[in-house]
This record gives sequence, C-alpha cells and structure tokens, in this order.
Amino acid sequence: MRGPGFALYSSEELAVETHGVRVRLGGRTPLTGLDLAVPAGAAYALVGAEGAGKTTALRTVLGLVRPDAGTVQVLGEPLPQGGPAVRAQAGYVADRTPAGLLALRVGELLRHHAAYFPTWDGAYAERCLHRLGLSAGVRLRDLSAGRRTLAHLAAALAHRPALLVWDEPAAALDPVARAQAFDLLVEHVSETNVTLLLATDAVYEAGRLVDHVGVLHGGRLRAQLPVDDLRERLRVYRFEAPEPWPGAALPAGAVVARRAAGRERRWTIWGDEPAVRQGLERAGAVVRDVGTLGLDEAALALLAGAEER
Amino acid sequence: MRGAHGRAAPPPLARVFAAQFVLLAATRRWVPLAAALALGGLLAAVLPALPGVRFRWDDGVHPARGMAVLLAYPPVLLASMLWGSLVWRGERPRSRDAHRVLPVDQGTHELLRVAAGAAWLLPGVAALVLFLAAASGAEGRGLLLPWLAIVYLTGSLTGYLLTSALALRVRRPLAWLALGLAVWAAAVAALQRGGFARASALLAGVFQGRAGLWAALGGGFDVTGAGGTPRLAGDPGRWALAMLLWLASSLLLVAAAATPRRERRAPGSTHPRRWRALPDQALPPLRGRRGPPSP
Repeated sequence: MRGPGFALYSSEELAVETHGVRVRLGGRTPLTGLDLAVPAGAAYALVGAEGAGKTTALRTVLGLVRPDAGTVQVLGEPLPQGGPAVRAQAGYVADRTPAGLLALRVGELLRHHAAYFPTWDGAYAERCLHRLGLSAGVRLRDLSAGRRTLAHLAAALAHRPALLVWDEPAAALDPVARAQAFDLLVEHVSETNVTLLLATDAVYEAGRLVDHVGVLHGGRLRAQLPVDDLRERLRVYRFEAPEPWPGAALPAGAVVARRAAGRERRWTIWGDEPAVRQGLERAGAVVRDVGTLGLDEAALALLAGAEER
Repeated sequence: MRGAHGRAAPPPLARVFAAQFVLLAATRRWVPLAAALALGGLLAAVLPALPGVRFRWDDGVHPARGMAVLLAYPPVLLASMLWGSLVWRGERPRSRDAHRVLPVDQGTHELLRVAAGAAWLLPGVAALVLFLAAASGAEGRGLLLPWLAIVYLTGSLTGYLLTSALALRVRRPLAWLALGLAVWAAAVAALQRGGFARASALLAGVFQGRAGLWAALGGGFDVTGAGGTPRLAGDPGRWALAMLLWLASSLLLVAAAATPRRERRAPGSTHPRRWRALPDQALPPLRGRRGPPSP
C-alpha cells in the first residue's frame, strides 16, 4: 500500500525517477518495488532502518546496481544506457573508502577525479579542502573514517555536479566534521542548483539540510513528500474514546501509528487536522490535544507504521 | 553550476587510461611487481656467479652465465599473474563503486584498468630483459636476447591477462586459478584411471599439448631435453602458434569478463528526453500537481 505523498510531481520536474524497481543481490531482495521521485533542486532524504534498501537505492540511481525489474531515469537519462552521462553530472560520497585507495594522498584522490570531469574546478576543490580542514598531502589511510568521508565529499563537489548522492552522511562524521560538512553543503546548495539525495537512518542529523523525505521499508517507499507537508499533515492526536469504540471513519491508511493507555489513545494520523478532528469527534472521541512532530519523529512514526502494516 | 558546464560529457578514453595508469602508481601497487621482477633479475645475475654453483646445462655450448638468465623467467611469470590480481587489490568485484561511479562505461573502464596494468607490466619486463642481457655478457647475448624478449613479454602478458580476466569477476583470482588447475589435474587423472584415455589426453592437451598453455608460456624451452640440457623447441612456428592462440584467448577472456558491466546506449538516445536544465542561481519552485494524499 502506498503511503502519503506520491504523485506530487510531473516527470519534467524530477531529477530522479524510478518505477517498480526490484533488485536482487545474492539471496536477498533489497528493493522490492521502488518508486522514487526526487524533484529537481530538492534535498531529499531517503530514511529507513538498516537493511531497508537505502544504499541499494542510491547505487541503483547511479547505475552501480542493475535492477531486475522496473525503470530508472536520472537527470533525464534512462539507465543503464545513460549511466556514464548521469555519472558525469553526479557526485557520489560513499559510506566507506575501498582499501585499494587508502594509499592515495588527498591531493592524488582529487587529481584522479579531476581527470574524469571536464567541469572540474580546481580552485573550488582547494577551497573545499580548506573549508573541511584537510591537507592535500596527507594519505587517506592516515585519516579517520570521518575525515576520509570529507575528502570524498570535496571530490564529489568540485566538479559542480547536478546531483549529489551521499550515503549515510552522518555515519562516520564526528560533530565537528559534521558541522563542517553540512555548512559546506548548505553553502554549495545556495550557490548551485544541485539536487541532493541522501540516505540515512539518522534523520535528525540531516534534518537541517533536507526539504523532501522518502520513507523506505522492506525495499519500497512507504511515503515520500515535502518535509513541510509532513510537518503540516502528520499530527499526533491524543483523545479519549468510549469503550467499546468501533473506531473513526478515517481514510484507509491515514492512521500511521496507534498507541493506547486505558481510555486515552495517541494516534499518529495523516490528513488535514480539521477533517481528522471532525472524524474522531463524530465517532464519539474527545480530542484532548493535537501535537506536531519533528522530522525525525515523523519519519520514525511512518517507519513504525510501515512495520505495523 | 549546471548552467556553467551544460550537459557534462564523459571524458576521452585516452585521458581515462592515463588516469588509471597514474592511479596504479599513486596507490603503490607497482611495488610488489617491481620487487618480484627485481628478485628474478637477482636470481639470474647472482646465482651463476656464486662459487661452487654449477648448472647441469653448462655443456660448453650454452655457457652457464648465458643460460642462467632463464632463471628469471618463472619469477617473472608468477609476478605477472600476481600483477593481474594486484591491479585490483582492495577493490573486490562487488565493491568497486569508487571505480564504477566515475563517468565511463563500466565495462570499458574495467578494460582500461587492465590495459593500464599491462602498460606497467610490459616496460618492467622489458627493462628486466635488458638487464639480463647485460648481465649475461656477450656469451649469452646473441643466442638469448631476441628470444628472451619475445618469450618474456608475451608470456608475462598472457599470464597477466588470464589472471585479470578472473580478477574482473571473482574476489580471489589466484585462488580460483589454483583451484582450476587442481580440478583440471584431478579430471585428467580420473579420466585416465577410468579408462577414458582419449578424453584424458584431450583434456591434458589444453595445458600440455602442442598448442597447450605450457607450450605457449614456456617459449619452446625444454628443460627435459637430452642430458638435462635445456634447448629451444625444434619448431618455433608451433610455439608461436601456441602463444598467439593463448594470447588471443586471454584477450577474449578479459573482454568477456568485462562485458556484463557494459552500459550500452540505446540507439538514437543521445540527449535527455524530458529533463529540463534549470537556470543558475534560481532554485526551482517545488510546485507540482499537489493531489490528495494517497494513503
């Protein structure tokens, strides 16, 4: 069952568009029917628990994984045919550095990338290194995992990509590195029209960056929508209901999470507040309180709802 | 900025090849290769000079110092096969995202890495051959240098390509190679014991036949010659045929191993059909067909 927020954009407005993507890797099926829609210029966070298929989704978008079924179109190019053209306009920050590259110096890593991107901006690469507190002469193996991630971020940004894909942006970064990275990213976003696609299981970390969110569970999206919509339309309703209570006439799937303590219930419900309130009250419930959710709470609620379903 | 670079194109392949060549140096992967080649050179140069060391092939026709340059060949061959694996060290087939995410057709990109590896290997082997020729002195030069140059270069290239083909597809190419040889030997022995002499001979011929791998890699050098004297094969043409056959086969194997990663462009699809470039400095409005939620 599809969650809230699908079909908001037409294809022309989408930087990334996938339909029914299924990926089988070994004996697992990390993606079971991914319908991803990332608007151009958006900062989109793909959230989900470990094993939800986030990394596979990002790798599929870049042509690193071939779907067994479904279609993928990125920056207007169909994959896999358009893979090189897509990656020429994309920057990718992986969550780890392959062992084979650890002997590289930071400067060598950047020069290696520069050879592949005619749009490489050497001055900007140096600026990124400076902003991130990195030295070109240090070897990657002598850096912490977080500092290595920053080096990859500089390499991914310096050719001014149209699409930046970052797997687990908060995973290896300490608080200082995270602040440096996110500050640089915010500045980069403000100067360019880059589309950000992040995958994270720590929504609160990326909350200041993103304006769209997709909730991934079991290899498919349970919801994807603008963060503003999420904040506006997903609310926690605390109400009392008579016993026995047959339930309220709410649209199917609108109730994302249910909790009860005695006669008091706390339901997380998707919808316009007046309509939801009216629906509850018509069924005899007395609404005590309606609360808003932070991005991380909302994402968690949607994830919990997906697990319940 | 998107407007500044328009539709960024993938880089020219020559530039990618150069980048891969430089990467193999920057990641210090050449060090074990250089060490193995140096070891081969050392063996060939030092062993004959040691007091009391006498080679069985010192028959007065092929002087020991001249023939001892052959001592370097097995280490060079092993180093070449090891190099096929080292070129991909730390980048297993399933975790080559850092390589594959660069804007080149992934199959072609893998071939270019293999080519860059060959571009490191062949000059290294050529330098060793020159060193051996110099070390062997005038007595070995006339007989061995042209033959050595061809055998060392083609043999090492074939060994490198065979391991490379495996390295493109499996995590431990040398282990798979050893396993393959073990299975082959067991199969030959089993067929022989089972009374299938013809099938056994056919299978054995893949490696040991007149056009087998050993004939190709061995360069016509026969250590089991009469009186233990090594000699060049009587039929250089046959050796050349075996070498060409295996060199071509190993090239085909490498190409086949890279084929699954090809990203073929659909005919006529040169530019995006629906993507609209956005103007600089203007974040796109996130407007859309805001329909009712579909929970």
